[in-house]
Amino acid sequence: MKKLIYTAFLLFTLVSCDKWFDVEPKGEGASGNKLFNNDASFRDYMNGIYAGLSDPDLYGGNLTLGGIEFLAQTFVPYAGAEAWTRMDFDSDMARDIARKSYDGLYAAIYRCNDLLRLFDRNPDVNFVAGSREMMIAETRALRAFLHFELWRLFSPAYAVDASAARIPWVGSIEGPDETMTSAQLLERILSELDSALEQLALYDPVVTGVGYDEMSLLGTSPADRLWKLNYYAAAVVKAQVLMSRGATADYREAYTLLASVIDQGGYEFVRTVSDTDYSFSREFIFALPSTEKGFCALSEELFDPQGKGVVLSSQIRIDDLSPDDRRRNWIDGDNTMRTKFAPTSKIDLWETVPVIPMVKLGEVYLLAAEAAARSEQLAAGVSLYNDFMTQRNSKSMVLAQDASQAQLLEALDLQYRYEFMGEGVRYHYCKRLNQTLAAYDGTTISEVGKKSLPIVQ
Amino acid sequence: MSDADALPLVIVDGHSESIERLHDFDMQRIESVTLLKNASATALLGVRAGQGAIVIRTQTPDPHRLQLTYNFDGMFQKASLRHFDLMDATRKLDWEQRMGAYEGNTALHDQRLEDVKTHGSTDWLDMPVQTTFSHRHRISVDGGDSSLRYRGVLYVNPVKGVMKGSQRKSYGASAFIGYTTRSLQISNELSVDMVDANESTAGSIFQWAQMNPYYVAADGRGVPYDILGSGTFSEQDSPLYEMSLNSFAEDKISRVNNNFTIRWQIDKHFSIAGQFNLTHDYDRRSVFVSPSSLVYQNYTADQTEQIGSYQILRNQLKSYQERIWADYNLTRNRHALRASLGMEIHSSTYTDNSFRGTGISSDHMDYVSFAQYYAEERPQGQELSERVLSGYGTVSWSFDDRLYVDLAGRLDKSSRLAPEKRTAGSYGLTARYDLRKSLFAGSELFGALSLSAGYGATAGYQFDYAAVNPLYAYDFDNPYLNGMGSGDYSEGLVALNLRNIYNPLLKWKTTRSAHVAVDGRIATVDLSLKYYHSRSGNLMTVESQPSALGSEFRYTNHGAIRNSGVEFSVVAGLLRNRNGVDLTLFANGIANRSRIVELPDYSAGLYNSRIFEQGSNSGMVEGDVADGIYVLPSAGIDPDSGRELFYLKDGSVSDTPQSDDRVCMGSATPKLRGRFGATAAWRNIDLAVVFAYSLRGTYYDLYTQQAVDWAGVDVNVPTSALDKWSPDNREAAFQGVDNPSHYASSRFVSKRNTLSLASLRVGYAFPKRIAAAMRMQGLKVSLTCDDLWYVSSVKTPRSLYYPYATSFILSLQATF
Repeated sequence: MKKLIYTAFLLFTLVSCDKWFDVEPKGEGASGNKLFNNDASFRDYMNGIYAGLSDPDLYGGNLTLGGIEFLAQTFVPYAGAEAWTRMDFDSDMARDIARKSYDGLYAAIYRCNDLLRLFDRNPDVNFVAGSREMMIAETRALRAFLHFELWRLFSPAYAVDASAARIPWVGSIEGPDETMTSAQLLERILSELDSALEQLALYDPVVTGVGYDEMSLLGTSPADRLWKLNYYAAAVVKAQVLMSRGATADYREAYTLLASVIDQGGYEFVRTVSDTDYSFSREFIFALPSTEKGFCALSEELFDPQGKGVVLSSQIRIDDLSPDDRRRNWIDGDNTMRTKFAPTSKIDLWETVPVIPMVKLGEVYLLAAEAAARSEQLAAGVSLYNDFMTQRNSKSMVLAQDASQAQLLEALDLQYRYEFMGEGVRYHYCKRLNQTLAAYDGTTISEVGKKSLPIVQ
Repeated sequence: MSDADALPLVIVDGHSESIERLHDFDMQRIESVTLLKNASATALLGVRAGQGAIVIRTQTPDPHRLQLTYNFDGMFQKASLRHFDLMDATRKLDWEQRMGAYEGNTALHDQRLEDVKTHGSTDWLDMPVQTTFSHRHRISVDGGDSSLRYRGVLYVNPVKGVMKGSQRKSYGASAFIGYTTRSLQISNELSVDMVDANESTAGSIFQWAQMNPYYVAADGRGVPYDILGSGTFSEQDSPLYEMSLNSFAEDKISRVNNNFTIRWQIDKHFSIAGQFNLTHDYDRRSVFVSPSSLVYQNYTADQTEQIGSYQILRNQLKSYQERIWADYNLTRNRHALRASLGMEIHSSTYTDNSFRGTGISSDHMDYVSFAQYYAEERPQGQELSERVLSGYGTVSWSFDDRLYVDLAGRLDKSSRLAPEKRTAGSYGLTARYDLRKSLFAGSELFGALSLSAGYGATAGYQFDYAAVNPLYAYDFDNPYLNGMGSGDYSEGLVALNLRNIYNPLLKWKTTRSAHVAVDGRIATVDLSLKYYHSRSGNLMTVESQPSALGSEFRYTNHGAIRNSGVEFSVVAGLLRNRNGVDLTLFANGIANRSRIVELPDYSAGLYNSRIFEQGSNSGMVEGDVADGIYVLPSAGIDPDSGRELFYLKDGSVSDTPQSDDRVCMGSATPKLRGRFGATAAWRNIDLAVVFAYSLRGTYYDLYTQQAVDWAGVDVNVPTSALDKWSPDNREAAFQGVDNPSHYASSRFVSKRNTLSLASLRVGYAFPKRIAAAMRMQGLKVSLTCDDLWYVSSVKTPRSLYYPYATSFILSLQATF
């Protein structure tokens, strides 16, 4: 009798461990419990987060060529985009862009948090040594970058109002969304980037020069790190955050960081203009793959006279660049910018798509020169600017070595109009410095730093 | 709110079975069927019985010498096609003309009128239906003595449906063997059931109702025309042509079930028992669409590889269940105690998959191997599992045969619950007190009187796996996978995406119910009256959240529905063996009221706007009934446009209403529904009549809306379409033929009362000596008529898809 009860009890306890209940349905996708038992799944999920950022609602359009770039007054807007371009952020287009980018960026943050949760939950998974640390650090850096992107879109500039509390920090999938002032948020972002950089410096192939096992972790060779927020890209993001705060000490720290990227990163400017790489993708430090046809199709749709017929605004004067400047190749005779993001192969039209630049070498030089100029290292700043202009084949525009800070800053300001055409960078620069801008139609947009996108729920 | 798994749990002899099995259940095996709705009753069955339970007990053979029983049922079935009320050819043509269909083309009208004079009006409605005769045979052999009992059953039950081509043939066998000693009882029953079913390819009966009666269906040789009125305003594809093709949809089902039980009586107080059950159901469905079908009429020459289709769908359910329990009983003085403690494991896996071949060149190539290509869509498949580990216990105590108390509790840990809320508890308590002993002991008038009450809470499933678990899927279209650039960059990077929004903390739903009841017997009348109240809480809802948390909404447990009502039953034995006649009258009924007591606005808004877009008449609003009919208050038909106008919330009138302009018109559940009837016996003849009634249910007349209000001039219509709007009929009851709006409207809502003769049965048992003359121990015959007669305050067809059938069953039971 006792034996029988004992046997019965044993039978039940044998099956009562939790694993017996972890049966997942098949057919709809796999659930996290079993899927994340190998390092490749983590890598793949990470790829998925980056692929999601290429969506036309985010960097595949609205946050770059298709939206934010218009705010830099580079183009004459197409019908319907005028209010947006004049920074009327109550307009329908502004509200649409604002809602999609807010939701999309936070959805990406959610996935970063989900990935971090999965790392935490699956401590027994075998990783190629170092790759786990690299992926965790990269995910944290990406989460910090996404918060920074939200902050610079939806909050007033730091210089204008450091106490505005618009963007909550979300550090886990359950929330909560911690409301923070701009000052607190940037502090948080910086500390996250610091700890990520510390790990990336040790484990990122782009630093170590050694990729992880190709069999299990495709795409971790140093060259492939272009597609990820790698160590150098994270360093540049940190410099951007520091410069957004704008204290002299911040500029000094930013300069040191950016100078180290220039010195150690091994990145080079293009020396000839290749007819398969108009956007100079060799200079990219961090880039996203465009969705199939995406970025070219968007460029074609915008600049095709039969399409939206967008042309360059009068704020873009080609003669601001010296006659030999390589960037003149981006601009076409019909006063458009069709070439910069044209298909990279003439044979397989539309199938070879340019990538979406996120961080590139030109920005590192311009940021470094500015950071130097604003942290009592003017000579270093002038040298960096002059290096940059020489590399762009615009030697005629180099400054005298004893140029004043104002001269250097003015020269840098001019370069922001041309270096990042179509990339959505200049608007953030103008906003950071709370500039007053001349709009495409000649009117004035004052105090850009006070304008921020509305949070549409 | 999700209605996932709104089906009740089916328990047959202690183990669960799929609800599909009920469809083909061998009725002769059934000893009793109980429907459990109260949480105090379902608590013992736990989370799987959250939607109620159907508990079936089958007969076990009695010990007697070998006995052979033969049952024969012959069934006539006839489709009921009342209330379609369609126009005949002449009226339809006349109506079309009035609607202006022949303006500028009177020749077509004259031609059609001429055809009608020659061929008469075609009654399409009669074509797809048939009156059928089916016969069922069943042989059972059983017998045994005090230690060994056995039974074997063979049956075949081929049923033809009233739609042509529809049939369901079930056949099978089962074997029972039981062995009993003084302390041990062992039994095993194995049953194998097969079903071959064919679905009719005739489509819905509504489709036939819409066929214009002036078309001739077939040529002189009886070959159906394919497209009728080709090129005219009323071009129609002929369903008769479609039905004449070799297309089919068939199911081959096989089901095996083995049920083993063992009981060990340790002493007179204590016993241990076990049950082990294995079930395997397999269904292979084949659907052939002939290449000659009209669905391919617009395919071009370069699409031939998509023409013709043969699809194979397979599904399989495997489950096992094991249960071990111990019983204890004790009687001391006036106390009696019974207690039971058990554990149960249930595990089931459901899989299905399907693929389709296309490129079939002939109507007669009706097998998958004739397909030349795979269909464009990907093969489909899924696998769903359920694993439940449960512990349960019951205690019953009675005192002096007048107070009875039952307590039941159960804990279930289930794979279908959220990973972080995986163990759900249920409990129930009922008590009954016999008043007769205390109050009317010895009374002749009061045969019985007892009071009972119960309270319970049962957990229940309410969501799918994806609502509580993250699902990740590979993205085959992303640029990382397809490779970027060349040279330096690797290709073939794979991207995984999170696909769903989920909440691992979501709870099961909990239904708490309480009831009080009085049962009594006064003279020869049995009375019972019960009041119940139940509240289903923690129902799954959707609520908005800051999108900074990753999505705009999340799943929550913030819904609740309340139900309360009264059930009554009266059984009056009017005559008891007076002059050999027995007569009993009975009536029962239930009046239920439901209310949505909690529903977040976001959930309601989301659900109602989706329903509104679909044009459906359901909806949910906190404070309304749970199965309300939601419609737009009609302001009649616009005399200028012929489109319907509605009163909006702000009192204005418009033809472009919004979701929240809808109002609730009441519950679809009748205020009172039930059955009444009589049973009688006289000598060897017995008779049973059962009527079903329902009163004051809110009814939405979909037939009139679809067949009249939405109808264009190109299809046949009921005669009430004469009151459709036209420039000459500006004060119309129904919208015009062009561009009617498709909203759920108050014009089609009414309170409905129905009465039907649900069943009528006459039986006759042959006297023993006649049976004996035929070498039988007994012979019984009976005639049963189901759904013989039906009347409703709203005159519409009872079904628009498969016609309602009246059946006559002649049964014969011979025992040898």
